[in-house]
Amino acid sequence: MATKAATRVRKKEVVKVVHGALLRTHIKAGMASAAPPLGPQLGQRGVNVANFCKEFNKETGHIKPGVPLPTRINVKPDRSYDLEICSPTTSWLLKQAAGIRRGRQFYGEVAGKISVKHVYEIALIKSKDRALVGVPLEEICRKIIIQSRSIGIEVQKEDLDPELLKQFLAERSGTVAKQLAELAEKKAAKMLRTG
Amino acid sequence: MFRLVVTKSHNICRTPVAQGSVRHFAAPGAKVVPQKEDKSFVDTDAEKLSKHVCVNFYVQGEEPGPAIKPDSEYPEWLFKLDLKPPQPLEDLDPEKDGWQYWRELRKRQMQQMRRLEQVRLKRLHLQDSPSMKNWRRF
Repeated sequence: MATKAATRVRKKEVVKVVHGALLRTHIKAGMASAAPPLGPQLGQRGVNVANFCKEFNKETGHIKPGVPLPTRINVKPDRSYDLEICSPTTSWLLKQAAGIRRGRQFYGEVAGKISVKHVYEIALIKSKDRALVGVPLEEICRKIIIQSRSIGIEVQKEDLDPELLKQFLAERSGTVAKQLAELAEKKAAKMLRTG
Repeated sequence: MFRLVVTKSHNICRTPVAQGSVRHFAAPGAKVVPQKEDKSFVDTDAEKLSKHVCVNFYVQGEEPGPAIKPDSEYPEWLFKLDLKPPQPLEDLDPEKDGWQYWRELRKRQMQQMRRLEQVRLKRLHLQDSPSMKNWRRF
């Protein structure tokens, strides 16, 4: 419709950014690239993307490639930036400690098992972040437990028993395979319907 | 004193740092190609998972991660942490739990408001009807 098209197209006013813009993203260690979503995000704030990627990959050279790292990029008005690379995401750390890659799919499902000692070690890693400098370890542990609940990882007070854990992991791998197969089936069915 | 060692297979430069530890830098040419992550992978090595916290993310670090020490090495409060799932409103008491009860109550009220809003928007044609006049009083 001609009128609809005319009303929809409106001239976007160029907003001049005066304050420093903070960009909060997760970037995988050693894998910063100019491709979306990172490229456009940096480009919009006026940061030199190629330089940034080189610097980021250099800084994270000592970390295993592929580890998601939350980064805070403070872009100043003169196009320079402050890069703050934090410790890996808590969800990634929890999944590594439990030996899984996928979280839970529905409420009440147990995706992995962990003990409070694992939580303590993870809290030690997280406590080195600038944002968590004054926070007592107890508080960090509590936050990690809340997050593990959301991922579906069960936290137990006693140490993990290897035999029971082995049984659980064997069951879990079967369940995960089934879930993924179901999802693949649904996707294939959808493709057949529309395509 | 800097000592540059370039190995053919890995193509990395080693630059010693003051304390004597070695930092690995990927050479400018080396690029990490993102691989498709295998989501179906479940680590079945139960021994490793129960003896170590496998969270080592450094290239050069203790594999597979910090070892789990006996109970005495950890602080007291660790074993007193609250591991129970969040209690529903019915199990909470304003006298005993105080602010948590009121927080749960508020959450419950917001859920009810949200449900009512949905119903209201679904039945927009009934908005001026006398039966929907006092909907906020529910």
